[in-house]
Amino acid sequence: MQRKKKPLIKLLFYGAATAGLYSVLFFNEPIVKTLCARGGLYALFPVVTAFIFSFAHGNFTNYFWQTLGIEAKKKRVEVTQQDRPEERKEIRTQLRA
Amino acid sequence: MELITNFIDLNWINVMYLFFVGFVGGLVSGFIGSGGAFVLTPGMMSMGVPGLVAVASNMCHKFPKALVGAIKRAKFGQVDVKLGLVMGASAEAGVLVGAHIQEHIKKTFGDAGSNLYVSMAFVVVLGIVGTYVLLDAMKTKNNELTNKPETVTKIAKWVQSIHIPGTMVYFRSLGTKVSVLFTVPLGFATGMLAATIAVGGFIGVPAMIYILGAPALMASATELVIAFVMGLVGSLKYAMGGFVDIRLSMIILAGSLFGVQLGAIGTTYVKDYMIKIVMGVIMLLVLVSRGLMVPVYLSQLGIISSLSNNMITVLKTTSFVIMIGALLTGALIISVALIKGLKEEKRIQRAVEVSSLISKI
Repeated sequence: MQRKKKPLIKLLFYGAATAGLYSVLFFNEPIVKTLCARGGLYALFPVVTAFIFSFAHGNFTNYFWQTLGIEAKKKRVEVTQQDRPEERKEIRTQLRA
Repeated sequence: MELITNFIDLNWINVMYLFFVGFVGGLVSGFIGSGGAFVLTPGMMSMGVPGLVAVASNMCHKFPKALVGAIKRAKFGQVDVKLGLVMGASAEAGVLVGAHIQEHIKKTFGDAGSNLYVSMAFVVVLGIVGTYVLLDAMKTKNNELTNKPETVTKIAKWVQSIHIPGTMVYFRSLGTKVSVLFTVPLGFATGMLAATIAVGGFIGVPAMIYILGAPALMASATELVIAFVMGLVGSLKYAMGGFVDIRLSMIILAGSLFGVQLGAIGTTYVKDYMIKIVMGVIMLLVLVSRGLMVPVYLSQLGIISSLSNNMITVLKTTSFVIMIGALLTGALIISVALIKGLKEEKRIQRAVEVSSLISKI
């Protein structure tokens, strides 16, 4: 339960941050358009904006899929005959002897 | 005071369209290292966005998308950052030369000449590389089925065997040292193609696999680093001219980051040959799409007899539909592989849980 809660909190946090960023961008369309069209040193505006958005939204999308249970394949060690507890018991007896 | 801009007014249909194409493009991009750009640029232009603004805004969504994808795939251990940066730097030079050639052709032969050059580049590169990639994918698939290890091509073996003092660099994805004199022209060609058809990965990924000897999974992940480097510098260049419409870029980014995460996750469930299959299929479909446009440009240049307006409309529409089809086909193959992989993973997880319960009893 604890494990499932953590990504959900992060999802909500980054979701709110992303929604906030997009609201600022679209509620200030005239200023945004002007800043983009200026060029020169103002080139930093779209580029920095892209970085900030990719950080917030990148994290949001990451936790979004994680919360839905879509995660990368886990690397696991195959459970083989040798790993079975019965055999380990045997080894212990041998060691005591 | 507001400047007079080339930026269009957005409506909900435009926003949804960009979001959706962004998502599908991101999905393919997260999986094969590139994709989406070839549909987004003409798509934006059909909304009334001027060509230069479409290219610039597309590029400004590409580099953050590539960054997020690269970080995700680096977590899976698939990215060779050094190879990506070395190839990325030389790709920059390729972009500059490619853009210069484009400008020269446009000046000399006009828009139709420029379009013909771009379409011919698509047809020649995708025809040769796409066919090779797809044939090799089939071969690799058969090898996988008979449990043969993935083989490094003869060219890659030769490239890896050449020792040029002072130029040798160790690359993790290759597991050996290779002279940068080989990586530089490959990066350059990637950049030139990116400047010409907007998808450098169609050369970059196959080059890393077949000429340098990188596994397909690592090559497609490393391509994201190259795309990031090229996209960042390109975006700065276009933004300095005031051509980036950040609203368009961020709408596409909104969709593409969902896709890129999913595409990256998908790579952990598939074998190497799936990357090659998706790439080959997309390349050949895009080739057909662009090939259909060649007669249109030839007639505009007066090289062949002029086509009727109806014929031109039919060819243009078919071409665009096939291009969207190419992207959707790629996305479909990835989705099927991902769903199969997730189901199998859940089945294994359940089996592990059951066996651990039994052992506790």
